[in-house]
Amino acid sequence: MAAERDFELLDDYIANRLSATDKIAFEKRLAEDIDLQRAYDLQQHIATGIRNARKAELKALLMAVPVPSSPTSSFTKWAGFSTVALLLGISVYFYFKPAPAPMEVAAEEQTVVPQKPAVSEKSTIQQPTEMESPVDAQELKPKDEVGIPAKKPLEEKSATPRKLDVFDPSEELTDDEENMDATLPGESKTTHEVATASRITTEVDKTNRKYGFHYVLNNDKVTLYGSFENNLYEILEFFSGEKRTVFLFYKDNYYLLDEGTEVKRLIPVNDPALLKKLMEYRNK
Amino acid sequence: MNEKEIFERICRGDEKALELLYKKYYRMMTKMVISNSGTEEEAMDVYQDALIVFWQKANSGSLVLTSKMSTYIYSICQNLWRKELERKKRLSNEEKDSAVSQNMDAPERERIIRQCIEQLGDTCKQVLMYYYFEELSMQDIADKMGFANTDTAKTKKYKCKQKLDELVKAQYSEQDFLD
Repeated sequence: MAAERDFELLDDYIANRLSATDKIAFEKRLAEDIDLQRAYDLQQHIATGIRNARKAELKALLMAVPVPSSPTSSFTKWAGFSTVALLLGISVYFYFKPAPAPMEVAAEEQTVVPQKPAVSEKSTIQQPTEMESPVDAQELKPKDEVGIPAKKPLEEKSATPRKLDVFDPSEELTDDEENMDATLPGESKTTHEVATASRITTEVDKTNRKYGFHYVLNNDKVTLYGSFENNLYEILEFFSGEKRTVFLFYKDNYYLLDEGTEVKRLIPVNDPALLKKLMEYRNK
Repeated sequence: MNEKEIFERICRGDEKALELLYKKYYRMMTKMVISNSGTEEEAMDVYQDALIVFWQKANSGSLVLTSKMSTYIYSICQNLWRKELERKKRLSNEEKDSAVSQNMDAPERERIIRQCIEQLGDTCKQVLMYYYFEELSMQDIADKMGFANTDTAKTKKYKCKQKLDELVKAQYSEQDFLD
C-alpha cells in the first residue's frame, strides 16, 4: 500500500491536477514502485466510477428532455402531410355531415368490427379519433424502440377502412373512466371493469452501468434503470378489452412502456394529440 | 437566449441551459448520424455523449471556443460516430472473440463502485462528481456547495473520498478483486 502522504499526490495525478513537471516526476515514481501502481489502479477505478456515475446522471437528464421527432426524408414528410390532410378532410366531412350520418357510420362500424355490435352507439364520437389514429401510430413509434401492441402490417388491411389496432386513450376518455387505472408507486386503485387493484409493481435499478434511462415491463413488473428520483414517477395503465397499454409519467414527460423481456430505452411521447389526452386523463 | 448566454450558463454549470442546448440542435446533430447509416437511437446516444463531453470541458474551464458552439458540438458528434463505426467494424472482424474474453471482471468492478457511490450522501456524491468529472477548483466547489471556504471544501472532499475508498475496498475484498 502506498504511504499516506502519497494519497494526495496520487489523487491529484488521477484528477489531472498536477503541473507538467510534477506529473513527469510522479510517473517516474509510478513506474518504479509496485505498491504505488496497485494503489493507482484502485484509485483509477474509483475515479472512473465517479465519472461514469456523473455521465449517467447527465444522460438521464437529457433523456427526459422532450425532443422533436427524428429527421425524416422529404418523401416521408410529404407522404405524412398528405395522409394527415386526407384524413382531416374525411373526418371533417363525417363530423359535419347532417342527420343521416349516424346511421351510415353505424352501419360502417358494424362491417368493420362485427364482433362489437354495441360500439354503434359510440361511433359518432369515435369517428374523429379513428382518423387520428394512423398519425398517432407514426408519431409514437420511432423505429423499433417504442412498440405498439399488435400493430398489423399494411398488407393485411382489407379494402374497407379498418381501425388500426393502436392504443388511443381518447377512446377511454370518451368512455367511462372506470376501465382505466393510474397508480403511483406503491399504491393502487380498484376499477369497475377489471375489478382488481393494479398488479404492476415498480422497481428502480440505479446501479446498472449499461442502462441509464431504460425499462423492462414484464409479468406485471416495471424495472426502471437509471437515477430515478423516488416517488416522482407514475405508472398509467389503460385497458381496452384484453389489451393493456402502460405509460410511465416522469418529470413532465410520458413514456410508452412496451411489454417484453428486453431492456428498452425510455423515449418520451412526442405526439401532441396523445400528450394532450394523457394530460387530460392524468389531471382528472 | 442566444448562443453566448447559453454557453456562459453552461460554463457556470446550469443544467437547464444544457437541456435548452440539447433541444436546440437535436435535429441537426442526429441527422448527421442517421444520414450516415446510424439508427435514431444511435444518433441520440452520440449527440448526448457529445453534449456531455462539451459540458465537461466547458465546466472545467479548459474550453476556449474559437468557432460557433454548434460547429464545435457537431465536430464532437462526427468524431464519436466515426469511432463507433470503427468499433463496429472491428467487432465484426475476428477480433470479436478476443475482445469479449478480455477483462471479464471490469463490469463487476464498475457495478460495485456504482453501488458504493449510491451509498454516499448527496453532498459527498456531488462534491466528488464536481471534483473528478467537472474538474472544478476547490473555490468553485465551495461556492456551489455553500461551504465557508476552500479549506472546508478540501476537507469535505478528502473525507468523502476516504469513505468511498473504504466502501469499495470492503466490497473488493469480498469479491477477491484486491491483490
